[in-house]
Amino acid sequence: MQNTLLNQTKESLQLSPKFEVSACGVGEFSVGHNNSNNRTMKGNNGYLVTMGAPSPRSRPACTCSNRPGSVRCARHGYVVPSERMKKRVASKEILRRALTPPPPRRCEKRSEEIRFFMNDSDTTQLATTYDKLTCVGFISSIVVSMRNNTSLARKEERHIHMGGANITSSLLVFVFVVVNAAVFCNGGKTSSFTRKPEKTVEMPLDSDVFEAPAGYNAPQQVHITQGDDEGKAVIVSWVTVNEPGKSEVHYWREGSPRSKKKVAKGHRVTYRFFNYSSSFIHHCTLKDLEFDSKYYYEVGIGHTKRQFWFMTPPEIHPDVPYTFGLIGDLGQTYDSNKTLAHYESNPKKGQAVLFVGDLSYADDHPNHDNNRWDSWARFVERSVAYQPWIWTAGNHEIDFVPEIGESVPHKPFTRRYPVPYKASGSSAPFWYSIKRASAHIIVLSSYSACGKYTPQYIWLKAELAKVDRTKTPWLIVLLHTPWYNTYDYHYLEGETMRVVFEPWFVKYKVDVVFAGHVHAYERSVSAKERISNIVKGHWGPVKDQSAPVYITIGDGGNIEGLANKMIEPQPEYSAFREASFGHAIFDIKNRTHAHYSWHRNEDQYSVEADSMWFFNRYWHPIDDSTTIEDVSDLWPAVKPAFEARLPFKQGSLNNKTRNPVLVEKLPAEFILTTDSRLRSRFPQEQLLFWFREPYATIVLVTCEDLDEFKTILKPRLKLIVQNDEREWFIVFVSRAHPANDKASAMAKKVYAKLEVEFNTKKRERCCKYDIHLPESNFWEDLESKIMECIRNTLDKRVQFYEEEIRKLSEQRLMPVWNFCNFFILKESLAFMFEMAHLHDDALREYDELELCYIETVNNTGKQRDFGGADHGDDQAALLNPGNKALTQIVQDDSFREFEFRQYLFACQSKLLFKLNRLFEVASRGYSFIISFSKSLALHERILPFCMRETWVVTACLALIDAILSNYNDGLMAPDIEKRFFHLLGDLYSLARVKFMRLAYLIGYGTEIERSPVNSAALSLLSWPKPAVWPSVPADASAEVLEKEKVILQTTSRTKPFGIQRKPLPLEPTVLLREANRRRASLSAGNAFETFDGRQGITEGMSPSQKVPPSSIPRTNSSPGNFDGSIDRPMRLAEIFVAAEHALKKTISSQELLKSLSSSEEFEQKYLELTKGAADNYHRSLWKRHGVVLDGEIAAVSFKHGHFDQAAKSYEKVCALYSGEGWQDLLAEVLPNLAECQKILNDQAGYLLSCVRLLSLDEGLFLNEERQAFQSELVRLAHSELKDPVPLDVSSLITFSGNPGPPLELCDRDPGTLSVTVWSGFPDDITLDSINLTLVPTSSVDEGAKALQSSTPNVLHPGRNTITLDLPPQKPGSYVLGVLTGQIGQLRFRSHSFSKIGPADTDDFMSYEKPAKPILKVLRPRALVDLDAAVSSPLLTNERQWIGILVRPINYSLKGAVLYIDTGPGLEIDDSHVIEMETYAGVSENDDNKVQKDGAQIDSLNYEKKVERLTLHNGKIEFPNWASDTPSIIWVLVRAMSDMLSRGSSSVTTRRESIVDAMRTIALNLEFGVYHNQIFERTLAVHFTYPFYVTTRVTDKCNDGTLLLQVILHSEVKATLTIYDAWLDLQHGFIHNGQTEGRPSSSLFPLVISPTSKAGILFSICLGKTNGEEDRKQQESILNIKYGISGDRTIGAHPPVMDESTKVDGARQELIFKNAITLQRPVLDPCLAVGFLPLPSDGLRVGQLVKMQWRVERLKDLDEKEVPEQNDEVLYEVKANSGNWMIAGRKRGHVSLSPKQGARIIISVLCMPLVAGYVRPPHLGLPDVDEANVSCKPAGPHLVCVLPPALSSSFCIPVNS
Amino acid sequence: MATTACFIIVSRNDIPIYEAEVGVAAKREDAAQLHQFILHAALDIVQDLAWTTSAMYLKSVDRFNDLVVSVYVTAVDALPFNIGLDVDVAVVSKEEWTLLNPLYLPGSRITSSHFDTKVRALARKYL
Repeated sequence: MQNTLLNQTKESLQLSPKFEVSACGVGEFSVGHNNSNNRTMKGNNGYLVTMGAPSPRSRPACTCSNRPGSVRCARHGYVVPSERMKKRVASKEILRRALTPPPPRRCEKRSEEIRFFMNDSDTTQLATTYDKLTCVGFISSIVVSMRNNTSLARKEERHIHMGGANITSSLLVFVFVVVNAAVFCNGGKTSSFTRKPEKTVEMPLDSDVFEAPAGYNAPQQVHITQGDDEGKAVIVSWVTVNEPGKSEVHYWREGSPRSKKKVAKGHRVTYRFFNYSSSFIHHCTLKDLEFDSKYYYEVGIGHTKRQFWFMTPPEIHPDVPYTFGLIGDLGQTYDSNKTLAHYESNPKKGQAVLFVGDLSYADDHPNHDNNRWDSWARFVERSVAYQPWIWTAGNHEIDFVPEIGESVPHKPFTRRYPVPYKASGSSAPFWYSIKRASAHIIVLSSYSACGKYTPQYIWLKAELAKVDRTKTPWLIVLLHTPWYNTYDYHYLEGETMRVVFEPWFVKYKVDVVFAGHVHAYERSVSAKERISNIVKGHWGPVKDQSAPVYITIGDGGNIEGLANKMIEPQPEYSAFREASFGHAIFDIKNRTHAHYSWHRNEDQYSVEADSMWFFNRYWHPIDDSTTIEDVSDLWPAVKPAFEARLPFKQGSLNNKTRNPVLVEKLPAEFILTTDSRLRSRFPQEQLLFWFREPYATIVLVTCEDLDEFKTILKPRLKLIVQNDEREWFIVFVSRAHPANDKASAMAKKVYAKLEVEFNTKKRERCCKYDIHLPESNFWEDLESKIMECIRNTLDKRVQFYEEEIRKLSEQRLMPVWNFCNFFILKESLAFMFEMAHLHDDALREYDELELCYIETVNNTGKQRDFGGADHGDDQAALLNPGNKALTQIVQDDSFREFEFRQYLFACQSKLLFKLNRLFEVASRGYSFIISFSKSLALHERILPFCMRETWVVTACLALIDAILSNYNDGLMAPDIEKRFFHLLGDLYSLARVKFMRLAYLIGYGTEIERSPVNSAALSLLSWPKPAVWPSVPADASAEVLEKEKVILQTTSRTKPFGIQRKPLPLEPTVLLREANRRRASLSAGNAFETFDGRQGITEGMSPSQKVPPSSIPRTNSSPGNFDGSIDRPMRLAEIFVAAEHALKKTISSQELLKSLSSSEEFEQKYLELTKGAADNYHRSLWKRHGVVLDGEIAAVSFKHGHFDQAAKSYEKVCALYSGEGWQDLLAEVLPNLAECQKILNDQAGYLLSCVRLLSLDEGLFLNEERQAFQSELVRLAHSELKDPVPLDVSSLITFSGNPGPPLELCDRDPGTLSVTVWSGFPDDITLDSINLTLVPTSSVDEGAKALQSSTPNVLHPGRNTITLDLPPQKPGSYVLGVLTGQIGQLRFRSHSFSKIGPADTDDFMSYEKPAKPILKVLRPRALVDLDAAVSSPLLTNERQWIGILVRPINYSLKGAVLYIDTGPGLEIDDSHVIEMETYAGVSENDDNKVQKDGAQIDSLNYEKKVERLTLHNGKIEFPNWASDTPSIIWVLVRAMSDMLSRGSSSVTTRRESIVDAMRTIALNLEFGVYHNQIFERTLAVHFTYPFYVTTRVTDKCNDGTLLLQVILHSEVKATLTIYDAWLDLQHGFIHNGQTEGRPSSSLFPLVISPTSKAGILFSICLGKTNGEEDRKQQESILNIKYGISGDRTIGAHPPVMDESTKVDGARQELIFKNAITLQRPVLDPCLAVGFLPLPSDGLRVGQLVKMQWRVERLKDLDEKEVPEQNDEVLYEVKANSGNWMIAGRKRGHVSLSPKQGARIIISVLCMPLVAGYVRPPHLGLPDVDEANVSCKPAGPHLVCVLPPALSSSFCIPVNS
Repeated sequence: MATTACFIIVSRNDIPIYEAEVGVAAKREDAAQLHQFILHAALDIVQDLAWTTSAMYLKSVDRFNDLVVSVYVTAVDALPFNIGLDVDVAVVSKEEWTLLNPLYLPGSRITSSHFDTKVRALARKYL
């Protein structure tokens, strides 16, 4: 079909050129839009301005004086509409027109096809037109429009309006006005051919033109007109005067023999008019004529025959040419005669006349002299007898003269001029239609009622619809009263009719409207009413290419004369007017072209005063007022270069807030001014649809001559650019070849002139384009200029729209507010933004529109039609703005919500897509679907069944498709992308849910997995609530049966393990009840409800519920109760079938229907949706949603046996649920997983699943089920496993340490750990082994220690306690780690000790579980302390108890063994027992804070224990009692020392060597349970002799006796008793006296307390050494016999005697020996010098003083020794000569007796010389060896020397 | 306000540690399931939302048919989310908050019957 249409179009295109060529005479073209009068018109014409003179609008344009609105106008026969009413009607009409979609070219076609067809044809057409035009040079001006990617046709559709048509394009249009100076035509549209007004005079009745034919009763006034609808009949009328004669016509076709004459019988009428009686008027219709033939006919049969002829028209065909003449208001004046004659001889030869009314003007004569009717008829007979005239009734045909009794209007006219009105279904002869050749002519009566429901209205409405433009391409309307008329006469008389009919004319694309009435000629441009301000209703005609051309041709030349007063200035829409008489020819060439010409009576035929080419509105909608000519082919020359610049790379436009926005790749198109898109517009739409107008005007100019420029081009351009509305600039095209210097210089000059003329300071309006060598910056210049124009235009228009919108918005709350107006403006603005690529702004407009819409709809509260009831509405059209024409929706200011909201959203989403804001599309889309779904729910009762669900499904899918097709990865920010996917997921799942609901309704419920997600979604989703639930179609019983069978066969899938859980519900209420209730409530009231209550029958009806077999018959039989009643409740199967049928009706989408057609298809779709949702959720990181949906996929896979996939997905789901602990949910899914795994033989997984099942909350499964799980587990564990399977049973077997403090162990101690294990198994379970690891909390490197259970393990359900041996651990604290064990081949492990086992990771565990240490192994510490019990020294060489203090430090010493090893010099008396006793050192307890309270209590209950032990091999075993308490072990030791104690004299200081006295004991204590603890210690013990002896010779008596003082220091902390002491003297000394070296016995016993001293004096004297034997004894030995009474706990104590040597009661006496060295005195001084005291009054400087020394002989001077010495002693005084002056002799001999004791005083006078302490002089004896002088050393002696005495003269006393 | 409510306290790692269904409406047999499912699904949203706002009480984060999910997000690890259906969770949560045993071990299930009774009493008060 497309092709054929296309071909037709092409044919027509091929046809047209030849006519164009013939018609291309370059003449004067009136230029519509460059009217210089434009401005002034606006200013001083009352047409538009309301102030000042009363507006014409305010006067209803009836010529009579009736008041408008109420009374029926007698003259015109219709009610003059009041102002208000007109306004209302008009605004409505205009809106409707505005919203009218393009008239369907093939109404019966589906819209898509048409669109497609149009696309092709239009583009081709345009393209070819361009080519054609340029080559023929026909089009005089070129409009270049800018195109974007969309095709022209689509754009055009967009233009036609948003009314729902396909709005896709965004286009900026530029007008290029190409001016060529060479061919310059008159641009003015007024042809004010003035002629002097002359009163026309009627021709006198005796003029020859009125002459009656000769002969008796000769037929006169012969006239013919078309007699039928299509031209196959002719009505022949004539008048016989004398007698009636025969009403017979003989006729024959030319060429056929006369004998074949046919006879047609007519009829005859007469009438009376006042005093006139008519002659006999005959009418006869010739029928069944052949087309396109010449017929002859004869009238006056029987009397005077007259013969005439006529041509029948060609057969109706779109392309048949035909020529119509046009005459109006003819009258019978001389001018009338001229007109007629002029017409008759017109070489164009009109073949029929379209007569537009006012025939005879008889009514201008007194009493409407009807004789003038006769005369007129005789006058025109010369034409009308040979060609048909098509009659229109004018005002002069009314003949309504009640004052003379003629109250029947139109009496003469109807009697005389019959018309074939019945053939066109008309009820009155005043309006009718005929088809002739390729024209369809409609005749209307201006003087019949034309309001709504009048016969004329009804007829016209039907008639216009019948017009088939494919057969009659030309649609011509004849009227009498013109609608548009710029003369001063009959102004606005046609208005009432115009407001009613004009929209139809526009709608049906009437080509031309001819009218008369005004006696002048005028041609309008295609014009149409427009409203400049919709609200106030100011209007006026504007140019609109979609409207017809109105031609007033009332210039036939009647008695009333010319109408030569015109409205000045000429309004814009008036294209040509002239007050001259004439006629016109409308020459149809083919279906697209017709040539029209008006011929003044005065002119020759070659002159066409006005002419134009008509382009068929329907077939070739091109403007007929071509403007400017482009003869020099400027445009084709520059076109390629210009178009190469498209789209504009970058432009800066202002957005709504007037901020510059950079727009890239602005699509545009150059169009010529002749472009059809510029013309086919209704004038009044121009402002409303201003956005479609071009945005920039480029005037292409070339000129090669300055004169030419001055005289022609400049004024012309001025004219053009005066039009301020356009943004224009001039491109001067220089054609001068660069080589041609002269030419280029001239071009430069011209251009310079041009610049001077048109550039202003503000703006550069010119640029120069050199064809041969374009300047480099030209294109930039051009683009910037274009952009500037666009910007300005855009701003201006935006402003205009905004202003309008603002005005409208102010009235928002008024009752008159009309949303339609608002909508149109708003959307226009939005569309304009969209075209300019300011998508943001466009989007904002739409948003506001939506807001406003919602507000309006909600506010008005009117009950509105919701819409959505059309077929195909179930498919959401939310992305397809052109889905439905909104026109149909916009009725009575009501926007149907269903369509309108979708439309708005579609627009928004389209813009969002363009802005690449996919996320926003998704989010808005989602919320839109949700909210719209709610609206659908509100109107569910009136919508088809399940409309809502269907709509949502399709909407979601459409949205998703659209989004995904626009989606580019990686363009969105990550977080946005996340949310984006989430939205997609939401969309998917929404679609999914609704889809499932649909599926359930038609019985696929069994296919739907009853999972938590489905259940949650569906069970809360209410059933659809249609007004009536669909009922079963009559013939569907077979289907019902089948369904029933399916239902019965369906068994619920058995769950694995025989789980008896109730399946989750999928329905909010049981479908059966719901459906029946919906039906029942309609008629049967609540009958069913009671039934339902009684029987509870519906419970069992759900197919997938497990129906107990017994209930099935019950269910089936129960409907039988109602068999008798009409309203039998439906059975489930019936419901399914009914729903299915209803859905088939509802759903128009084949795809969706297919998806629901079978369960397989359903499942496929279901899977697709689920997967989509899951994927998107996953991508959005909504893992929960995603995973859950994975589960749904798994369910399907499971059902189909794809266990692999199922298991995978199930695992994910389970992992999610179990990871987070959603037990209820897990219980649903897990059995399925287990089943999968079982089938897949995935033993490990299966086991794990079993374990998980077991570990779920107990309440979720029955005990038997749980036991089943366990037995399964055990069975597997023991039998089938090939390899050990590790398994985590953390959730099932849990364990923890015992409550209370952790087990504390010392380092290296083993222990036993008791652990509580809970078993979650329902039964006892035997564990083959259990291992438990301990994890040290601190040290990381230390691995877990495994402990093995010592006992065989049967775990009972609940709590068990197991004990574990614990080997020695490293120090640290330990927590329980992992419990592992084996059941058969199954290795299980468990992590946790909490009941609900969380995830497996250690990470998690360590976090989640607080470290409650089960075991603490202490760091190594002193568990025991060994110490010497005694700190004071013990006796050397005696057997002494040494105490070892064993102090356990919080540690048991049970079974401890102590190894003792002595160091050198010490031996243990191992023959003796060892004593052990408890040690009660309270003070020590205090010291050692280690002891705790308990220990203190122990010490209170202290009970001394002593035990004797023996030493075996140096080893002591501890008794039990000593394990906890401190104890002392007493060991008998003896320190061996073979050295004598050595005393010291007073001269020598004591040298002590403690080391000598120390002995060591190495102790090694082994203790602990396994003697694993060892404590080693070396004790140092201090041994000593009891005394320390010092000696001193205290006195040497003169007799040589020496008193030897012996001082005994006690060295031990014990009381020593000296019983005896004696001295064995060494050689050279002897005892003095008789005591034999012993002091007197009375001294003894001498008791020495510890640390005290005792002294003993021995009297000895020097003896002679005699004999050799004495020599060896070099030392004296002091022997002391002593006893000791000490406590071993303190220190030295009486040594232990051997048993053998012990004497009872005997005093234990010990001997202490000490060596003392005595020395004989060696040398004695023999002289002593002493310094005698000085005088007591002191020394004074300068005062002589006598120093005195005494010299004494100490012993006799031995001759032998000093033989030379005599009694003379040499002395010498030595003094410091600085201090002393020796006055006497310094040196001299004094005599001294050699006898012992002789003494002498030596005196020396000295005088001190200095004051102070000075050393006195010293007396030396130089002869005597110093050793022999006993002299106190003089060194320290100082004497004080006073200063010299003061002179007394200084202190004479005053007399007083 | 609806007649039934379901509280779930969710610890970190999304483990529900406390669940309570309160209300006067007859308990549907699938309700536990349903509520669990809905709340579980809401966690996705909560996780997204919790980071975008500083508010602790997130009212109506999700809506499933006539069930409304509101969340009280606590600042402490112990009770990151307190999700409730249909009820003024904020009030209840705040009071719940005060009910907790200071010796409560984070992350473990709240099994205290005392807590349970208190919560139910509270819920009754606000339902």
